[in-house]
Amino acid sequence: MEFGPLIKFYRTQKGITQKELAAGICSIPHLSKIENNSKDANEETISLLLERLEVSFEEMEEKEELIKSLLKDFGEKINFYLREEIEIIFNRLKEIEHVIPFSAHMYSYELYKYRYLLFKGLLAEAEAQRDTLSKQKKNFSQHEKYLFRYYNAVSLMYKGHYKKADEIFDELFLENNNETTNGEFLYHWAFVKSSLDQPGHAIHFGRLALQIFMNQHNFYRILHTLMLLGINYTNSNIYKEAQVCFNHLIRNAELLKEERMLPQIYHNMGYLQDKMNNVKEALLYYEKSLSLQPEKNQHYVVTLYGIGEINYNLNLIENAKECFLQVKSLSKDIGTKKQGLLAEFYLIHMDSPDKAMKYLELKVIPYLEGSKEHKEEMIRYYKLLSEHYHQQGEYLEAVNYLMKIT
Amino acid sequence: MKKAIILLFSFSLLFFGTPVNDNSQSTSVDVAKVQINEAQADPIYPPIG
Repeated sequence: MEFGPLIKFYRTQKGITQKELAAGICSIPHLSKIENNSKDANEETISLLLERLEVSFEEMEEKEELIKSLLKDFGEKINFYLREEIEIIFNRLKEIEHVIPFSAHMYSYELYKYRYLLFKGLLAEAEAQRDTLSKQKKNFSQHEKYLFRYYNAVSLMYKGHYKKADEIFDELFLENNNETTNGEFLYHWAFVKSSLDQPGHAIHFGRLALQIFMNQHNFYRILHTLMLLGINYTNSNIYKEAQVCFNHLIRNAELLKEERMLPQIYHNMGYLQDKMNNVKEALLYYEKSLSLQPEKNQHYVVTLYGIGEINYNLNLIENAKECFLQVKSLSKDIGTKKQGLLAEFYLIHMDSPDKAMKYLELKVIPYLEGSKEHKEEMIRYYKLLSEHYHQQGEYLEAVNYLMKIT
Repeated sequence: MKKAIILLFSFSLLFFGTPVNDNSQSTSVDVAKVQINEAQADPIYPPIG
């Protein structure tokens, strides 16, 4: 514990002058040097000064230990994704926050606070915390530097900047001699790879993460990783494995009473069935998912959009229209721009396929190109437009879109 | 003989001149319909945490 600055802190807080505090204990210049950390005082002087400030020396020593153990616990709870316990520990740390700057764990605490804000999805506050930490990064230990860069990558993931996040993960992995035993790191990297349309890499890192989480009996993260693997097996057309993952998930989520995940699992099972062209099964799963989503949030819109699309493909145009109209209206409030644009595309397509193609070209494609995270989807729409122009006899345009694919 | 050659020529013209499957009447509507039958929906990702 840095007792000098701690004494200064309590003296200022209590409104006592240096003269008053030092009286009978030490000289004023001596106290001044102690407070500025330029002189090591003996334990007895420190104890006397703290006693006059009504702060116990032993208690401070205990607090140092407490901070250390709470931070260790905090890291573990984050790794195990234990939401309620994370909250409890963070509140306990908050209670002693005023003494943390005088402890040896000042930077660790600020770094974990950054991680906590990211965990809670409080992105604006996390960004402010990152800026504060950035000014201090020269003073970080090696491990603290590692944590800072890792959390920056997590922050980029929340913002959807997967390419930059991937670069950081790559650097950190290389610096660690191409190995890590950190399951969370591997899970996050698998997530990034999945979002960058690299299902092979996502499966590789996901399986490594899963092994580590299984050894730790880290149940929530096992569920999350299985979900990620299921999605990537689906995207790699390894349908049997995907089905195994989702079946495991349905069983275990019910067992763990993890009701929050069930609608997402059903949705992804629907997504798999959709890819396998089992359209009716897909519709059943999507509908099951939607019935378990009381809140009209982003996930709700994604599922509803899936239902609309299947109805459209089954030629149930009225049902599809109802879904797309709802998606369109919800997307404005919720901010699911992609689903909003695509729903509008379908709605136009119901009346005029030609106009829908124009809309695709003027609205949907620029949006997808702008976000740079939808490579696979763009290829699908480029093909669609190329076929359209080919059909219209506008070969130059058709070739232009074909070139974009290659 | 001449008549036979002219007849054969006319038949061959008729045969080769007719497209096997006349798609020329199909419009971009049909093409678009076929294409957007592909699945476009997104999966739902687990939490980043």
